[in-house]
Amino acid sequence: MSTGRESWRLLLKSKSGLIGLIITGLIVALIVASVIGVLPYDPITQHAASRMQPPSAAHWFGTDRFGRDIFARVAAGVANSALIAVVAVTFATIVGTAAGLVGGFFRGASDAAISGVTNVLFAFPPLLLALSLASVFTRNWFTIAVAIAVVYIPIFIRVTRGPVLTLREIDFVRAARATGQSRWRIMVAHVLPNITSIIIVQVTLSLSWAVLTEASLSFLGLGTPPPAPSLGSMVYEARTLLTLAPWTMLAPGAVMVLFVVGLNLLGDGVRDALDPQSRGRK
Amino acid sequence: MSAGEVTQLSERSTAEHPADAGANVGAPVLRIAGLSVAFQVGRAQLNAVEDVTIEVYAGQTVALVGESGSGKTTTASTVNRLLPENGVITAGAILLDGEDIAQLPESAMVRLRGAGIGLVPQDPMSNLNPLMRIGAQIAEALEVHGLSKGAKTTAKVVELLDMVGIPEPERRAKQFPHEFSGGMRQRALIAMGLACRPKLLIADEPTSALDVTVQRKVLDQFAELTGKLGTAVLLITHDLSLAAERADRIVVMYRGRVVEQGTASEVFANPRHDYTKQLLAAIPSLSSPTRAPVSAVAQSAPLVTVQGLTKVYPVRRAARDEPQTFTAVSEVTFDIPRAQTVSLVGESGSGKSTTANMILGLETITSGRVLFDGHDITKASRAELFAFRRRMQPVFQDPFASLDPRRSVAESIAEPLKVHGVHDKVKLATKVAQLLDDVALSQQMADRLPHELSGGQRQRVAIARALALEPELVVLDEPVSALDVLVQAQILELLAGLQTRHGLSYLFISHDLAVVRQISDYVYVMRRGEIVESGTPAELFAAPQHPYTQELLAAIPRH
Repeated sequence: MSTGRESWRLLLKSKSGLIGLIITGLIVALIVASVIGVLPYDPITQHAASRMQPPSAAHWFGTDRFGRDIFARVAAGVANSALIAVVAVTFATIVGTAAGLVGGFFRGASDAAISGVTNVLFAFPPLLLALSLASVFTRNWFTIAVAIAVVYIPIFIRVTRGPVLTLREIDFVRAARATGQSRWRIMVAHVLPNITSIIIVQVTLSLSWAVLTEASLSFLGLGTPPPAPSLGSMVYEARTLLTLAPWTMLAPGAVMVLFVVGLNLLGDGVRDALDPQSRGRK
Repeated sequence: MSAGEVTQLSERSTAEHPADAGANVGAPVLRIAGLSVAFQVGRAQLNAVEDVTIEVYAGQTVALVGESGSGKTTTASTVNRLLPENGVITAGAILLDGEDIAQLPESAMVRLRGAGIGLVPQDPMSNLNPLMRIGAQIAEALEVHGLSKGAKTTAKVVELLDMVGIPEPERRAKQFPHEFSGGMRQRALIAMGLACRPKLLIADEPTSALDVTVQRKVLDQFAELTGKLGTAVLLITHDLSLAAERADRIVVMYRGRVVEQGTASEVFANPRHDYTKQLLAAIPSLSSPTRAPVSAVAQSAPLVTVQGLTKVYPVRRAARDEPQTFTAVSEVTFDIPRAQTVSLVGESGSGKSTTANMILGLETITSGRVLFDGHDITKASRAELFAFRRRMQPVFQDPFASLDPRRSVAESIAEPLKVHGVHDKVKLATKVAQLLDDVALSQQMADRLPHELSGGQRQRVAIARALALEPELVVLDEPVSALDVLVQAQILELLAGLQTRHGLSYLFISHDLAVVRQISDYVYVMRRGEIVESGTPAELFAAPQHPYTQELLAAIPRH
């Protein structure tokens, strides 16, 4: 579709979008490298001989107190965070968008129920809600993803429901009703496509927050159980070594910041690119 | 013609007509001389305004007339120096009391806006801060320019509100915008525009969002005030008849240029430019011909019979003593004969759109019946209703909202056919091509997206979509009121042609009596949910019986 190509062009033209895309691209390359196992060191195997070595040509980010290569651990940690964030946000997007769409479009009892649940979920501080959910489930990456998803579902409901309320009254939707289309068909064929840009932006921004939430959970010891590496738990373990081996904290911390900033910039860029008002400003 | 010659000409013409200019002795308050404005789009510069020369004297009202995109609003924003970021003044001067404000730094402009140049914006709904009391918003205008302080301001605000004709100004000043009607909001905006007694007031379509009767009252008040205060007024409007009635001089703009200027009577009696002539011819007026009456013999049973149609809404959060329900449409009864146009006329909130929506089955009915070809569609089953939907289709007012922005023209037109079981690609393509032809759009338009079309083109697509199912009844809900007058005339002509060719019945809904008079066979006047009067256009417009109809007719600007 021509508008899709136009959006890409605008995204690459915007400074924040381009920088965000580059950073996110680098991190994705790191994840891919870790997942297919082309990195020289294993993130879990310990090497007593090379404990706490500062960054060098052999160990780019140095080693930790068990002699594990921090670069490999950071790469595996980012992969882990990204997996959880992507699964969590996908789940939240599907459930939240569907609920917001149905509530906003059909109104009535379903809307009241959906809005009620949303308001209850919104009443909890997000991290606290994720914490309590994570502590209830048996801990593995999937349950953590679900815990994070539950926190993000209400955001997607709100983000979708508002525009849907406007769209259900708009003339082209009324014209579609006058042709005799079913309400489900109108919802899927006319309303959903017109809120996709809003959802795409929300997805990009939510990803960065989900990465942070996952890191916070594992920092507090409620994330992926060890020895699997996670950025949050790496920062946690490094906090006693800060004066002795600052690289053990700096490396995962810096990569986390970079990842979140990259996703945020990308989200900003995507929002500008999909905003019809920025069209024509070439 | 050079800028200098234009200036000379206009100087001469004002000198020739000292009476129409009011007290225009001496220098003009505003003199726009040879102004050109361009917009930077990519690397190219698009000229929006070219070589425009206008003079406005104290106490004089000059109307800037033109269709959307003609550069009238750009000219006005340039005077206020409120151009969008990519707009630049490429030539010319703007002299306010002899001082060239085109060169003033932004800080000086900030002091001038409001105090030297007042502005009455177009939309009374969006130009007031909904969270601030009306009084506080007017007080803000006064205090920003240091014209008064504290208790004095309050007194001044009340005086201003009183001056623009708002009853109980002391109580009203403490109210919020949502407690004001549209007309009162516009009055409040006029009060804000005049608060600092500016020498020049720019009124950008000040009444186009208002109903005709309200428009008339607001404009009367406006004229009286600016006359009393000696304010020079630059009135921007797309409505030529309104300009003729309200302005001392008319400046017609077309594609960024001034194509004609003169006194109202000069421009109307003797238009020189082709565009002005076209504009004048396109205005539907109360003197243009009506349709020939259809002979009663040709009449068979009506296509649609509406009996005692009523819609009652529950009122949310009604106070204890207030009514718990609101009757939007009350006991409305009328017929739509075959191949004829029946119009519902009324101001906003009169219930005409609700009536149309009930007939279309887009709104539930509280009581009453709608008989379509003898069948009561209010009792129809789902399957029956689906079949009836084929036979009646709507066209809505807003050309920008009535097409799905993500679907191409061909997809939009083909959709109703697909819904009703036509899936053969060749058949669909042939039908779309034929419909595009019907509404006089070229075949290349088929692949365009709505944002690539003009308002008039979009409305043609909406009409093609409505015709796709070959309906017998088309419900036209204000189909031309969002369009420029020339486009409006073209669409009305198209509708009339389609009616004759396909034998369509129209239910035409409008607030514009001149348009209604031109295209209707029978007219119903609605007010507060009820039909107050009906008749053929000839009867109704020659001898209106109900006071409301008389008021509506009197409110139309005449020339």
